[in-house]
Amino acid sequence: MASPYNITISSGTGEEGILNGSYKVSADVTGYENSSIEPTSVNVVAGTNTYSFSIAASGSLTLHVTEDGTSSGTPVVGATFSRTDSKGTKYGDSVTTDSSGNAVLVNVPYAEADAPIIYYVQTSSDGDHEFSSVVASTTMTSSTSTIEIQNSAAATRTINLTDANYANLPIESGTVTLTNN
Amino acid sequence: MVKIRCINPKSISIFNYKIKIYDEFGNLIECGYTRNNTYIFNNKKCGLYRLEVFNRYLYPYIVRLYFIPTSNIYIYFNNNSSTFYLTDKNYIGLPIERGELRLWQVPTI
Repeated sequence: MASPYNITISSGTGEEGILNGSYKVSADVTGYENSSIEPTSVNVVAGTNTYSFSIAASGSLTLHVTEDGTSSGTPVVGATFSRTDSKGTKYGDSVTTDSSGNAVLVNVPYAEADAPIIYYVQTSSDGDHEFSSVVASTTMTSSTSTIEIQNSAAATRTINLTDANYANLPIESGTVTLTNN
Repeated sequence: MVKIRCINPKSISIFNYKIKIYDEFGNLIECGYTRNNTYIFNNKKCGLYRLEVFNRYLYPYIVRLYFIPTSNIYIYFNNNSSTFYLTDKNYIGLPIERGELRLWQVPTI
């Protein structure tokens, strides 16, 4: 009997030739709670060749957003983040910064050594601050961790409005509206 | 004499393949198990026979064929080649980058 089968998982997938039968399932995934594997048993039967499992982690990653990116900076309220994979595909619900500027990604993996990489992306700020929409990453060696993120206040811009037919003649009063494309 | 040999290219394990042989009239004339994955069929006469080979652990589960016992017979089985997906329970669809699943066979009574 070839049991137990050790199936190596890479990027969410593993492949193995398995005899038909009933099996108990266990997991060895660094950074995750191995006892949380589901389902814990599986029937491998002829004609069915794909089987899906899930596993949970228990760490908390706090994303602290301020104007200057320091722990004591002015908090930015209403910034949103999502967890992603390395390519930027989003998974799960987004989280939003509270009055302290904190958004918490829960159930993320951590490990003292060889911790999995956690990818996340900021998807919006509060409308008055700049933000980066580039996918960022981190690893956690303990169950909680905080990352300081800067969302700079929008810079003051000077808008000039002149008469199209009289070069440089300023328009005395009026309003220019800029709308996001 | 004809050797009926059952082969699983992905395993060197020895399985007990169940063998049934019927004569041309559909009468069961032999029923037994392989030894070392091989069954010896001592045919009394040359004719058309029907062979059935069973192994509930392998694919296909049953092989049926007709044969005239003039040369040895080789039958190929495979383990199921299965794909296993492991994702994050709280971030639906997020693939687990690396890890290992272990499957322990539950004995059947």
